[in-house]
Amino acid sequence: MDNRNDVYRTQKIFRLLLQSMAYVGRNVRIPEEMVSSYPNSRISPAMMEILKTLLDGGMGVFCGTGDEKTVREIQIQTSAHRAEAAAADFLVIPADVPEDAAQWVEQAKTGTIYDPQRSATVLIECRSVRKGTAYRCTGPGIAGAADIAVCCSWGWEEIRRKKNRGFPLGIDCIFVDQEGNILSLPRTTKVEAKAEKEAF
Amino acid sequence: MGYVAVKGGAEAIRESNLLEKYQRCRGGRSVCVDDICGNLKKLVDCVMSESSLYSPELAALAIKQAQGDPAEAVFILRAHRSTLPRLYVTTVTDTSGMQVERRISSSFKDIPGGQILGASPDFQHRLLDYDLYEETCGDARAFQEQYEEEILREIGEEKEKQTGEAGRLPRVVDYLRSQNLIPEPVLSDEAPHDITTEPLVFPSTRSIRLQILTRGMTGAVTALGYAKIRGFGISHHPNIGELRVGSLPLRIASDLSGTREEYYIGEVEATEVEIFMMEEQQEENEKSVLGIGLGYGLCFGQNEAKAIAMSVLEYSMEHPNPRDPTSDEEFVLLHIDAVESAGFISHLKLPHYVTFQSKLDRIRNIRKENSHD
Repeated sequence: MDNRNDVYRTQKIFRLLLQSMAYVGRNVRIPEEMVSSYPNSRISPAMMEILKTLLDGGMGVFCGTGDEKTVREIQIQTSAHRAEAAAADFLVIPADVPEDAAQWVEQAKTGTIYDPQRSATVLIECRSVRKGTAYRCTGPGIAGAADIAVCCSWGWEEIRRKKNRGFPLGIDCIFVDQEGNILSLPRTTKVEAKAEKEAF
Repeated sequence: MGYVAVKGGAEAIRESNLLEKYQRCRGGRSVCVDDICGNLKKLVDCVMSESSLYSPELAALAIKQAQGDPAEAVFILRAHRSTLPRLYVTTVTDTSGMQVERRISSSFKDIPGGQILGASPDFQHRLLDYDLYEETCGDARAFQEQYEEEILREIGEEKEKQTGEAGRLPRVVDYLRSQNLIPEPVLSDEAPHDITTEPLVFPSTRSIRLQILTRGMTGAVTALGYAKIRGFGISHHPNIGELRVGSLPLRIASDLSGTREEYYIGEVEATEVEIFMMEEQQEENEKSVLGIGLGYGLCFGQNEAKAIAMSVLEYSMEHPNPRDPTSDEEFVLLHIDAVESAGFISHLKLPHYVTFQSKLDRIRNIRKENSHD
């Protein structure tokens, strides 16, 4: 199948995202040959491919880069409309704004009891989803426990825990690093920091 | 409702699928998608309308795959539709901009712009045409060439002589509005609900009702529309103010270029109906007077019975009468949808072994208890 074709490529990326959501902690990576270059964008090309996969004209997206060029590139690539953090269906949290990331994710919508699916998916850029602070994940789809490591330091775990207190309300998170590695944390997954000595 | 997953039978299912394909191919012939598009236009229109996906080619493909079963074809096309990205939403289309191909009114003989019969089976004898047994592709092509040479060319020359507004005709309803017999509509800029992304809850809104009616099953919409007219509610006969078939231009707006501009992206064929209903209306001094109410129907393709019935049902739900089943939006909207109703009926074929066993156990236990009394 031709990886240069957006339709086939985004179908493959969707399968990868699905794997990552269904098997928390499993190593999933978007291969380099499936990633195009986006010179007008400050977010990583792998993140842009994920946005092209998940977004369409019916979705509202918030992008924390703050630069107009990146937002316009996202709009051109996905047809999504721009939205405030509190109203967005997807929030893109870039790696270089740790000081603002927390307040944006705190605003993310968690859905309603009738429509829990009307919640936000938070896409977080980080330095690595293979190395960093170690966590233990438990919950549906995980046999026993799954160990993960994330290099992302703006306190995402505490905000995520608060947002996901009232299941089925909550947010789903997808971490993406510069190498195109993906780590998904659906709202059903419980994440606890591992003891210091266990850190990777 | 609880379901129990059933495993096994993979080989039998594989064989059943092969047999289904054999059933289509055993005549040793295959009808091509272009043939379905050309020869079965009304069926293609019906499937596009019920699927709410305007693509004659894909509708024809679904019809071929479903071996002509419209409900199955609609199911296939709706499933395909659900996988498509939503790139743009069209701007509001004013249907008075329709390029009219057919247009009739059963309320006035002389209407501004005149009646245009267009293509219709209404004026044909319903007798089997045995000549079609012998019709070949060559015959069809010969007729096509002759018709295009002798008639369409003349029509084209006539149109060229007309102004740029050719094909755009004034509405019959505007005449009645000018006479104060039909009140001016209250314009609403409220964004319509999208029934394909939001669950249906009652009471619904007019935009929801119109969307569900327009993709309702042709037979179901027609049957319920007739039930309404026959006496479940109104005791009088509605009149078709205007029935139009033609092409509607569609545009999208984008502000990516810096200024909000509209772009023409193509056209869809549609049938539009405005129907007149006698009704009591309140005047400003609270006196009630007899006036004319309006029902509205619009669907993809040429699907006249459905568009007329839709306008009747739309009126019935917009002006509810408690004695009238067709004013009950839950009764109408949940039952006319092809996937909703055909899907539920078809699911009865799925294994219900556990639930039925449980029913049998209950019956046996109760009988046993009764025999002890």
